[in-house]
Amino acid sequence: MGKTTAVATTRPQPPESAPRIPGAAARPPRRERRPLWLMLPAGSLLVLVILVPFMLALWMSFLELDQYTLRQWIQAPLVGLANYAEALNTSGLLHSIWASTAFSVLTTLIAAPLGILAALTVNGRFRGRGAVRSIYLVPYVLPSFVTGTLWRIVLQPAGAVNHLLGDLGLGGDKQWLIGGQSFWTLVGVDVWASWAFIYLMALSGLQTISRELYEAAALDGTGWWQRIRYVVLPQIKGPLSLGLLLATLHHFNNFTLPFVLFGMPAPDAVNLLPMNIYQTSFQSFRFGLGAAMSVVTLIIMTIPAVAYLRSSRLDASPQEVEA
Amino acid sequence: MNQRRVALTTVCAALLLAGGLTACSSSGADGGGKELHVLVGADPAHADAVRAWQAQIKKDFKAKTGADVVFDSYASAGEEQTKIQTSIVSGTGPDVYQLGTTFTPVAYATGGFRVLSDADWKRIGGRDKFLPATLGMSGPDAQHDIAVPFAARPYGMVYNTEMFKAAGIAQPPTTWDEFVADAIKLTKPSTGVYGTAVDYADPFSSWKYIWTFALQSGGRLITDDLKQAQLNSPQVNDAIGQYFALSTKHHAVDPAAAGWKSAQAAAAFANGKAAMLPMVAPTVIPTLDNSPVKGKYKFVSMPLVPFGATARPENGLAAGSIVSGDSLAIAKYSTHADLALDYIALVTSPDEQKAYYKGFGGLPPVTAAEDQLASTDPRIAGFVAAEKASLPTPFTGAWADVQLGLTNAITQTLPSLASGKYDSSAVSQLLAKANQTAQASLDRQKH
Repeated sequence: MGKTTAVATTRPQPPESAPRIPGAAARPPRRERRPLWLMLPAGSLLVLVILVPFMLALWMSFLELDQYTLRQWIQAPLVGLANYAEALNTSGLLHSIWASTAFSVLTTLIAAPLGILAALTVNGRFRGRGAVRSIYLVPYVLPSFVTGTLWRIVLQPAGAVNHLLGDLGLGGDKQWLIGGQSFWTLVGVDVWASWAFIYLMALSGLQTISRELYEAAALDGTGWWQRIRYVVLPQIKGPLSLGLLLATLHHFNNFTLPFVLFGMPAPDAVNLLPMNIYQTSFQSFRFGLGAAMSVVTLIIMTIPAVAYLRSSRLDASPQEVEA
Repeated sequence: MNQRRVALTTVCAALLLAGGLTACSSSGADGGGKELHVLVGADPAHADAVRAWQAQIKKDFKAKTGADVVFDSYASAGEEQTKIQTSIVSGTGPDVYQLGTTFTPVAYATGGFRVLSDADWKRIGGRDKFLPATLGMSGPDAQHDIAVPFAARPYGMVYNTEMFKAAGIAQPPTTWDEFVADAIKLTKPSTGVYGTAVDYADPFSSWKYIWTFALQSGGRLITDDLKQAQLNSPQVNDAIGQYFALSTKHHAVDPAAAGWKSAQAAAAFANGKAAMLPMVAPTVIPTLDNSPVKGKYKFVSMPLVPFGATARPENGLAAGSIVSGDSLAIAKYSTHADLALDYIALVTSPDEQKAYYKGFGGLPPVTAAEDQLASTDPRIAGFVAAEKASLPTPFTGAWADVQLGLTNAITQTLPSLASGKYDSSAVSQLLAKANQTAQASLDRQKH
């Protein structure tokens, strides 16, 4: 019955159409009759925006494309896998992948509890809740460039942070923006800038938990932590998982923050992947090598990304998840 | 019916895409062929001056040629390079580019810029209207120039005349050993005053020190035939050692300087916390004139005799300042080359050059304007001397890798500087790696 209605509304049959086979009405619509053509505009744009540039990058990765060949780049000499060999051997790519992974995972791990706790503080009703919620969002709505500039000034040798530490007797001569320390500086600043995203996702999950669940838990005599562990976390798992995945990907791709904080060339500890590829491509003009580095990264990152998507079931349809 | 609908949708999508693409590509068109597009660096610190200067140029250019100038701007060196790269690939974009001098060799290597003929130079006003030294970064040789000097920013040294007098030092140093001796004498850590300020963590400054020290002692970053990288030479290794020794060995620099960019070094000098400030351009004048040291400072060329010597060795060069500043280059794809040449002629005319100096502090590379300014503003005499004695950096498309490699070696050594130690073997390793990259880059040269 449902099928008949669908066919009737989307595709009225002309009276002269072929006689229908009895019993066919009970079957789901055949694959070729789905209105797949509706995807054509979006599909074309996807091809244009994603597939074409990706194929170009793949092609570039086999070329000796640099400042000398850029103008006639179609005729740039093919060098086979030389760019890939260089990417893996001397470009510092593997170090950058490691630094980026460590940075993005650590930042997410630190930001997650902060975001969840912040969401819990504004979940209940109280006077001024709107104002507190707005204040929480300030670091998140600041553009990365502004965040980076702000912290670069604050973390100068004679900046506000060192002054504060000096006044507290904790030593005001720390160098935050050079050497190995720069890694922890970056983690700290990015946590400051990004915890509000986790907060938003957690809050959206918290708002969907019905009062009855809390009441039932209270009747069972649960404490605060048990309520978090057995009521809140399972209920917000969906939006929170999505938030954690998106946040980690965002940290992994963050170029602006380390670029503004440390400049280029950056200390080794924060020579993250986007920084390394940018420097290779746009400062050394090795576009072919930069493209090869990007392709290698894509391959390496696809493995954990797919594993994560499958384990968190973010790639499954609602029916599959329910099943 | 279905097929017809599919076909209709396909056509619509294609039209939409084509429309979008046309709209994108037409944004670079010049609307009637009488507009000259010029790409310049954004200068937020002088926003009003930029607006006034551009309005004046537009007016003067219109009066001279009947055509309009449209200024496009880039906010950073990175954006400038990206713009150049995309324009070169697509064959559309600005007609005239304002390029930094160290970037000119790379721009030349792309083959995307017009090589200036004798007739072109004549239309601009002649090659000899420029100070010879400022033409050092215009092209690989006089027959293959692509860039016309527009504003010079030579590097010199500024010192606090009052502190020098109080310490009984009559003259600014002319050798680096004198520089060290003076710096030690002027250092009083108890009052937070140090002999010199150094912007160790500034990627635009640090390599210039190494260039200066290495060339004066007879070393080179690249051999004169532009074929061999020399970043692992003893002179370059020593240069980095001497650079860091100002802090680690002589203690004449604030230990916090391991994290200083040029703004912090200038602030230290401006606040009377440093007696000398090397490697500065005339653009520092507004900062100093708005500070407690106003009227108590003087510019001179940097010392030109290397460490440990009283005279330069035979193959040592008088390297005090690189040829630095901005040049103008015309894109090869430009269909308005004559207008572009007229524009360059206009902005390098003595009157416009003086107006530009007043607004922005870049010294004129044009002899007539420079002489007039030097006679009216004694503060810049030291810079004029530095400009006239400036030496070009190697004119090779591989330069970016040389500069990056050198800067990277210093960047990675800053933590040991901060802790007061200097590990020469670690620096040697970094330089060896930088040299390898630079050599590979030189080996790829095709022009």
